[in-house]
Amino acid sequence: MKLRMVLALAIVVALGLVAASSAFAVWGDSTYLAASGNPHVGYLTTSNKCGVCHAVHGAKLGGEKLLQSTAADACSYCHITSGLYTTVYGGDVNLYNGADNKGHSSLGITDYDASVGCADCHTVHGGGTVTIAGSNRNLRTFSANNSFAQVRTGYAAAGYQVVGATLADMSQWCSGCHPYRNTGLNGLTHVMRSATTTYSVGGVQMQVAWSTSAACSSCHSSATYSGPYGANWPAAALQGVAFPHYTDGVRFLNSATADNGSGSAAATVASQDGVCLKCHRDGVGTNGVGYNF
Amino acid sequence: MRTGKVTCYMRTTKHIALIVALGAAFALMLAGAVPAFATYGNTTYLDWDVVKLLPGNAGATSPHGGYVVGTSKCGVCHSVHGAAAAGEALLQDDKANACSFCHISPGVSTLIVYGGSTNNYSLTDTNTAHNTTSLALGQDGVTCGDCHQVHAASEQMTANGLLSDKILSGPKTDYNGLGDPLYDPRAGAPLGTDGYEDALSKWCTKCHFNAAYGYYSTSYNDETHVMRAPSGGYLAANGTNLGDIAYQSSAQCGDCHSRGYLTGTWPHYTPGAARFLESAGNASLAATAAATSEQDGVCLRCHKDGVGNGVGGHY
Repeated sequence: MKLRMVLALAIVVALGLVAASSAFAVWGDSTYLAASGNPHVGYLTTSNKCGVCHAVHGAKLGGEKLLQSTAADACSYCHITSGLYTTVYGGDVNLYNGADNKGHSSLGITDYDASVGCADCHTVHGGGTVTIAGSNRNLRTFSANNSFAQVRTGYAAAGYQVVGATLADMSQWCSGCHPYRNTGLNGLTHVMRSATTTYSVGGVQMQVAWSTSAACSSCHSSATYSGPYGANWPAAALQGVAFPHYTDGVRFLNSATADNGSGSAAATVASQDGVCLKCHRDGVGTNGVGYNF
Repeated sequence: MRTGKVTCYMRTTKHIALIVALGAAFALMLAGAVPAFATYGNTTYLDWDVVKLLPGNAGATSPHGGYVVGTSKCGVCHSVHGAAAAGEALLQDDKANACSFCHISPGVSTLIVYGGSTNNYSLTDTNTAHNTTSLALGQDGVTCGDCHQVHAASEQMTANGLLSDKILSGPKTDYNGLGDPLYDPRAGAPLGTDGYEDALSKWCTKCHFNAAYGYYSTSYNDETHVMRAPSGGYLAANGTNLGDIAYQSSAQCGDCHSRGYLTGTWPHYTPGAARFLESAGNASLAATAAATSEQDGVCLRCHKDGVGNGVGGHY
């Protein structure tokens, strides 16, 4: 009799514990909700999103703001290493924390580039996002005093930096940090326009480019990462875009593969001339830089 | 016994060595990752002295020409995102002055012209240099790009490889599609088989020729000085054979316009030498820079032999 009561009590307690634990997942000594739907937008009194990233009383030691890690690395578990959600950086956190020239990196390189973390581009709570036609990726809007912007004296003042909440295209958004959106031929940075046949060379009107440079991605066109991927690289439906996280091309650049300007492959060196020849030669070997101008 | 302390010391030393090795490896990796861009103020151009050592540039002697997928040359002159404010076409300066940074002042190249001073390239004095300032005076000024093909574009250079070695620009043919001469018809276009000096003299006529007046002639009685070696049998008007009337060749433009000829100063800027001319009392004396193009020493340098023969001597 007593034994049955003890057993029954134990079962009741166990069931109660199970009910009380709800959907909390225990990661070692920390406790975070498993995500159901997008936890980055749409917070309501009845939604269960905050706890996906923030653990009020079970946060991970060493983390910041009740997150599982520092703020800079807080996105890594879900979006890089776990393979459970939209995954970028090839599912390899070393690519996010690395120091090479192929991605926006949290470490940065010893050039004038600053380091870039996920939250520098994305708003984690969905507030202060920019509206770009066809894009819904919680991209951050930038102000004129954007502290993340590369410091290049005169560029923003020259009007190359486009800021605001509603933008026509991604190239405008890129200029929030990279103030290079220029449509003039003799500016501080490469012109962004369609190829023309009437560029003046020594007084002669001629064609000097055979591809458009109208968008940032016209030149920074490397769009794939060919691996090796991390251990939990997900199925196709969860694979996020490689660009502009981490791609095969140095600085997301593609280079011509043939000296006449034809072909396209990931650039291996930021300075290689194939990046220029891809547009400034005709792909045939007749016209272009070093041929007829 | 000291075994524990020794073991601890050795482990610490190994750790330090490992950290140092990792740090060195990391530094090397970063060095490989940095693309050799040199920052000049707020601009960013490739440093040729650095990138010439890249594998893709193996064998390259300059950033002019020879562009292939793997070379790193375009960025030496053109900066995609860090161009100079005063520049054109992403250059450090406007096109007329874009060569100055490397080849005049500060002169980072091994080939320096105009005495290393941009004032000599843009002075008002046009008599001792091919330079630009006369553009402002309404005359025919000359920029680097008027003579040199900066990209070594094969279609924009002559058929003579020796001229192309100095990236001298010029048509390959004698006439354009409308029948207009591109060189003095008495010279013709530099040929692939011409020696350097012959090709150079023909090339000069790309500019130094107009419909009314030419400067190239192999005849005694054209409107311009004959270009030939001394003959030894010049006939005077009365039929007398005067023998030599000149004691140095005039076969090349540079035989008279000789100051600094075949060096880097010619025909860029020759201080004190009007129109690159030299002067001497006779052919046996060392020539000096001609202060003016009109002075007789320019003529006596060839037309007197120094032992009594020549103009005012035997004729």
